[in-house]
Amino acid sequence: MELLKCTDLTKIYGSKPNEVTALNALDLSVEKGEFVAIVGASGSGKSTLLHIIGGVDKPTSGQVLLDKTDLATMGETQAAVFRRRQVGLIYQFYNLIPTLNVEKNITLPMALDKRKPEPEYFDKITGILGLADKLKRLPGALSGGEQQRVAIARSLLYRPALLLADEPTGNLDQKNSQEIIDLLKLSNKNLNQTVLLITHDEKIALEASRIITLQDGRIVSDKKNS
Amino acid sequence: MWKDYSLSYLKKNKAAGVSIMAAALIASLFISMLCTLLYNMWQDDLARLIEAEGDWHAAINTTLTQADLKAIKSYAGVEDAVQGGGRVEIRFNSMARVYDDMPVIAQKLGISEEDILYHNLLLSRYFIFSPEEKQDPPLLPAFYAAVVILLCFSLILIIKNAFQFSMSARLHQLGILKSIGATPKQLRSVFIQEALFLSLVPMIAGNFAGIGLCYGFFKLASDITTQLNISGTRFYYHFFIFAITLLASLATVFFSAWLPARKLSKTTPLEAIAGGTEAPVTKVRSFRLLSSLFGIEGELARKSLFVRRKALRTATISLTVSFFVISIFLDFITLSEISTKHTYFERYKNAWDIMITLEAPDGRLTQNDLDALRGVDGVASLTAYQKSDAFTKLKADAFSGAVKTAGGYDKLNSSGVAQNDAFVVEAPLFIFDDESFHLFANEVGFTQTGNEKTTAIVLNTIWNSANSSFKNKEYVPFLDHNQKLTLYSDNGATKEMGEVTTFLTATAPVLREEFKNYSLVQIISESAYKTLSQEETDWFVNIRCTTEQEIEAVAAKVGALLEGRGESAIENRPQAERANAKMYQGYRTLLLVVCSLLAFIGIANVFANTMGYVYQRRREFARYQSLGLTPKGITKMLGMEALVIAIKPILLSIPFNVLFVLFAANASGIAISEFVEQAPAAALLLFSAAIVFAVFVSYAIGARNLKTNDLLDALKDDTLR
Repeated sequence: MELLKCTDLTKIYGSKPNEVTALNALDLSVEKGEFVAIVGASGSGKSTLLHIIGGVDKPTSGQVLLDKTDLATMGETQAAVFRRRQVGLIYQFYNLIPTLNVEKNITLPMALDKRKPEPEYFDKITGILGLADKLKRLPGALSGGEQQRVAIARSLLYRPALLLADEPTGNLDQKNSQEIIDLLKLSNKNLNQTVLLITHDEKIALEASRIITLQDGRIVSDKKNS
Repeated sequence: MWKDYSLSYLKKNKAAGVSIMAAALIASLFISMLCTLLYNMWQDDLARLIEAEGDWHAAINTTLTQADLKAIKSYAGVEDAVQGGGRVEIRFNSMARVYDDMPVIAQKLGISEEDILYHNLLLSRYFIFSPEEKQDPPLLPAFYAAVVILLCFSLILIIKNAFQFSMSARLHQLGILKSIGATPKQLRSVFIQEALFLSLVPMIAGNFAGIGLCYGFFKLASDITTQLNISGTRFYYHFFIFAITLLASLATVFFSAWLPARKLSKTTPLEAIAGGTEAPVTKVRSFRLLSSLFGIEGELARKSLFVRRKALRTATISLTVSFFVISIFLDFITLSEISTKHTYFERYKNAWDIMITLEAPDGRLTQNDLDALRGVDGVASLTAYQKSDAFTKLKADAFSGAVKTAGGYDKLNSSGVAQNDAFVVEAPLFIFDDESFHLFANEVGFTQTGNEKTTAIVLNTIWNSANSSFKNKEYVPFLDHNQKLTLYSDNGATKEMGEVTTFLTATAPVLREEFKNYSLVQIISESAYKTLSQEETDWFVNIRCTTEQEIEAVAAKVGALLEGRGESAIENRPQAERANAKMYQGYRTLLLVVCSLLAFIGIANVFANTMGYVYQRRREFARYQSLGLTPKGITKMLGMEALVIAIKPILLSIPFNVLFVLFAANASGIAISEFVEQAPAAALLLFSAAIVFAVFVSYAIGARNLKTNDLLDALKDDTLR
């Protein structure tokens, strides 16, 4: 089942004569349950693509359909609610709220909707991510790897249609990096979570089931990884 | 290069300079007000001293020949020398030389040094001290300096945040400058130069505003004191004070800029480019109430404020202090007004309408004057009287049985002086003109005509302090029976005035007078007084009018009748009430100005806080947005922050206010219900609303900055990508 469909996606920054084309008429389709890695050199357009799919940026032209919802036509409030419910964003620098404890950070997207998580699912996620005994701690008291696990738990709790990870291991050592990738794979396998991972690390990309390579805002390679 | 850089930055970022300019303006305004006030206190003290003791620096306690006087006048440094009253008073051009030159002058003229007198008190007011005083210098100048330094120090602590915010807003730029080789010293001097440049005009304006406010205050005080017939208060100023104020303001601004500039210039280039490192949050309170009332947005807003509490300290302190001071003082003024109403205006409402004071010896009243005053249309009654101190000796058996039962006179009056077997008791004389005396005598039932010249009508009551409190006094008879009293003019009971026979009464004359505790008040006729003493004292005329509406018209007619009678003063009750109301209004206005200035510092800090730290706050809000916080949610959060900042000082001051009112009302015997009826609720609500409005406006302006940011930029970390 097709979850994500990008058609003729173009993003141009600046204005003539200094304009920069970050995405150039890009077409992309992702099936539900896929684990896709997007690789490419710096400036290839991979972060721009992720931000447009995540609803934090808008394309100059083209269409993005996520679960049949057109992101380009959304207003600010709709986009915020979309980010809250439909996508889980994981950043290199975790972007946790330093004043909220681990539990509240994880449940924040639901709290914004005035909802509470299902206790069993919450326990399952925190259990899998090894956070069950750290729920009352503040992010400042956690290691980098632990903070990234909190960010993953937060992104998974709402059962989003798509998990977007932007260089999630960029700020971690090798051991923690492997752990995080394993957890993403686990969520993909056990929870049937669709994952879109951006990385410049070829070794990490090889963990994904599909590898897309971007260059100058276009897809230059799209391979299944066995 | 730096000049161009700074100028272009200031031109393009006018808002960044606003908080600095506001801080400099307020700081110099406070310094100017304090310096002007201290200078006026000093000058007023000098003026009183000169009026009381004369305007001379040194004196020679002997009469000199004209030749010697001329020699003194021609001495270098001597401004003038005046002979009179058996001594020569000398003024110096340079007062600092007085202690050195006077011994030399004395030696030249062959005068003993023991005959030289220095006006030490006056000289010390000019900060010139005798050699003895120099070993143990008086504390006054040090006190003045300490007060000014303390104020500057407090202002530095309060306003340095404003400078820090403005500088922090450029942390990103600072990082870029550092990365291309700008030294910490260069950056420090750029920040300080900019701060001084921005502060120059506000400092001068603040100085003038401080002088203006002080002048307004003195003008108001002078108007009120003139209305109350007290000698007016003059306003003094000197250019020297302007220079001192400007220097103190400059020092305050310099240190307020230097402290954050020093700190920021030490930031590493990478930290600066990233907009400053975010210190990890290790502890945060839970704020359950806000969380349950306003949801996750309420919790996020409160926690964000908690984490930034240090940056908001200036706002919290100044808003709390301003609200605390204004509420407590408004309560105090209200209680004081109620108290004055009860203890003065209501108490004396039926005692007087017009009060005339004629100072002796010129203000003598003749029978014709009194007849003319009594004949004025609208005068219902008139009592003219003089007052004189007198004392009498009372033996134990003279006191009433009630005094004896209470433990004796010395039990009631613990400071009663016993002499041999008798007590010396104050027996003040109220000397009524003969007609007033007759009227009062008829009122109390004294009809023994022919005995007036030896009779004193005695107010035969004494406060039974052994069995009743100050607030609810119970009176008992003073003397046991009518008796002859020997009066003395001194409290040692040595100078005898004469003898009077008492006529005891419990009825006090209706006068605007407070009778001293434990004194035996005597009312005698003018004719009787003349047999005791020839001393002229001031005359008081207490007039009661037929109607309340006629009081001011009668006062004007009475004034015209007494025109040209030397030192005289005419007060009337409605005018005194107006002056009293004006005085309280003056207090309120002054209080409002001072507290508004304090609140202004706080609001400037809130404004600076919303305008500064934009880089860090953008990142904070970008995080919320990336997780799905809607624009409405951001507005709710910012609104919550503004509400907490504005409401917290108000809530904090409520318990203190309640305690203060309970304590003060109880101490002054005012019913709480009466205070509640007249509580300054409208003024406090208005002040609170102004604070809340100003904080919300600051946030609304700051919010525009936060909301227009690019989410992507804010989520990025420039240092490691």
